[in-house]
Amino acid sequence: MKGARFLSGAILLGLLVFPWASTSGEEAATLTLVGRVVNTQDAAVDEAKVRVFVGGEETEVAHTDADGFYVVELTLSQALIEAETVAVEISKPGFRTTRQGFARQEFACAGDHCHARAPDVVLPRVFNPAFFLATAIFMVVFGLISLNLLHETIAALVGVAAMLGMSYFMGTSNSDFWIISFHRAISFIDFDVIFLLMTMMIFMAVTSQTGIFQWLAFQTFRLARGNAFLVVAILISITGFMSTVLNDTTVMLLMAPVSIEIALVLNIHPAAIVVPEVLASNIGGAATLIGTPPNIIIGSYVGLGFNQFLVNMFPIALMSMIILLGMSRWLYRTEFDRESKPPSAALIAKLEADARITDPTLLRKSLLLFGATLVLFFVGDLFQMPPVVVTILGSTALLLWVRPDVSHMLREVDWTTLVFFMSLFMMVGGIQEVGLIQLIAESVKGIAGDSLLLATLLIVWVSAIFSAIVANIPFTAAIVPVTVFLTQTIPGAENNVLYWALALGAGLGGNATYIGSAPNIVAAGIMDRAGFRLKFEDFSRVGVPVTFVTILVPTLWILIRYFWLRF
Amino acid sequence: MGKILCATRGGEDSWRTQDEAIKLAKKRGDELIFLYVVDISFLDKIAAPMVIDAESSVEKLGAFLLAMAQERAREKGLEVQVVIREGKTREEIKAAAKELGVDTVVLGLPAEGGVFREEAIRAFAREIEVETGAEVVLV
Repeated sequence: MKGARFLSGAILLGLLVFPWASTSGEEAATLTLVGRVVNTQDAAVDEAKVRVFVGGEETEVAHTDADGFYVVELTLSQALIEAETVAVEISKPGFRTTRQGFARQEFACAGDHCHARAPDVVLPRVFNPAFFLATAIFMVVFGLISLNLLHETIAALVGVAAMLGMSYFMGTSNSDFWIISFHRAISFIDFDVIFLLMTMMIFMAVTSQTGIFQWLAFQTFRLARGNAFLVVAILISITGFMSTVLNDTTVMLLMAPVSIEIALVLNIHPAAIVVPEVLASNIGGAATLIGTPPNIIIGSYVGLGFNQFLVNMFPIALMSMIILLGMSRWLYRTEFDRESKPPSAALIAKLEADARITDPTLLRKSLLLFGATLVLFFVGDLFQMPPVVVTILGSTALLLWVRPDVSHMLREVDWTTLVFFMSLFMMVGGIQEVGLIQLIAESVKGIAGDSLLLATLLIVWVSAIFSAIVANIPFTAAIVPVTVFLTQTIPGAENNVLYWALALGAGLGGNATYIGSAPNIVAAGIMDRAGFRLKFEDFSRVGVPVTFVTILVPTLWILIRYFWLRF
Repeated sequence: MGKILCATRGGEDSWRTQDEAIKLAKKRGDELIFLYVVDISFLDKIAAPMVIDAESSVEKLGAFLLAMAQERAREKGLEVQVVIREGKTREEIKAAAKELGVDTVVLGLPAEGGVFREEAIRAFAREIEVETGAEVVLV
């Protein structure tokens, strides 16, 4: 009896402790290896190559998926599994190749099937030639755009062509020169942004044909009865409001010429109207998701809705507009306080002739549909409708009602702008692939640490300074992923304060100089065409102080709202 | 009676040039034509949505500026003609000079100096003289 019990116990123990002991070492078993690859920020590394070695020989190759996971199935003899000869080598251009072995105790086996879940592999970055070349390409394109040396679209295409050309000419034979593949590059194109821009262009194109902007400007002149500052105040307000929902550059293209005419009739220097107007267009545009390209990029990348932008950015834009009004009155006081001679009746008649509503029916239809689209923006969250779907519905309805001709529709869309954005996204993808974005993110995190306050201040003011001197659209596209990383890693950042900080800095920073944003360049160009050359220092004399105050005060507001009162 | 062509943008940078052209026309008894060129090439390098008729907006501005120039000339006792053209400024000035058969073209030198701008304008003046046969007066 005792002996039988002992034998049963020994067999049972053997089965438990040595589950594969009942099989011979030469029998085949299926081995499933599962692992995950991350970078030093603990973000998944996709498309990493996973080479599986058994006994020093490569037996299988796999790639990580979008979440960084890989799964490999092998058929091996039990002996090989027991001998701890299984290893994986993980590699990806731009990262240091890493090898990981599997110890016997990491395998869990049942019958002829074994499974191993490897610890996450952290791939550190390497600063290879691809990193430096991609960074250099991006900086050159940045410079070409910021200094207006080349058309933005051509500059961005040059950047994309350079990155792709480098990858395929040199990177296929030497992975140290591999920046990004074409298919990978186009995966970075944010089509929400593209469609948002396209559909808003349709609204702008149709609305602008009605003459409403020029008519509003003339009515302002009539109502102000010669009071120059009142004219400026109303025009600034109209421009700012229009820019919240329509493209700010196009608003300036429409408002600047008639504003110059009004200034001449009032016998004041046109800069006293046009410069505050362009500052207002940038401020107004920062108020909503659709007001400026940086906001569209931020909102789309992060998934922020129209109402979220309105609730968080509209108060900031409103206080900045009030500051602008006050500062404009002071900075241009010699113009506004000057005694002016009565305007010429002939010139007033000419002004009125230039400012008529050219198509009342079109105006009525476009205002109705635009109003409906705005309402849909507000209620779209109830249907979980992304903002881009709202604009697609609105612009399509407008075209159906106003202009059913498809060829006309195609002409309303400015394809050079859309190609610019697509190329820009592809280039940002390139610098993301080589690790520049990650480097910037880690550097900023290194400075800010876990301090949300410091990170917020850094983002506001660094974005503002950069946006003043370089093109703010490519800057925003490059910095949004950095801001996402900081939001994910800094405690308390779940309230999205860092995104509002970026919208504030990137949006209003462009007011400081006339190269800071496209509306500024347009305004300066139209002033020049009118014989009033707006020199860099003339614009900055107003732009820099206004920018400083309109960012300083909202910064204090952000600190009060998100850090002190927390609402 | 000869013809004088004065390209102008109408603003404060051009007033001195307009005044000199008016003086010259009155002195010679020539017909004076103010020319405004709708040149929107400054938009060429911006990838902002150009979904509006930018030329039309700038053309209206140009017409307004020419109306102001006509009023200034009228105040000085001279009736002037005005012409608006669209295209690149330099090419349109030369084309207008040829088509209108002008004898003299008045160009303004930069008021604030600037060696390079002045040299560029002098070179343009020589170009006009060679291509159109018109006399160029720099003021």
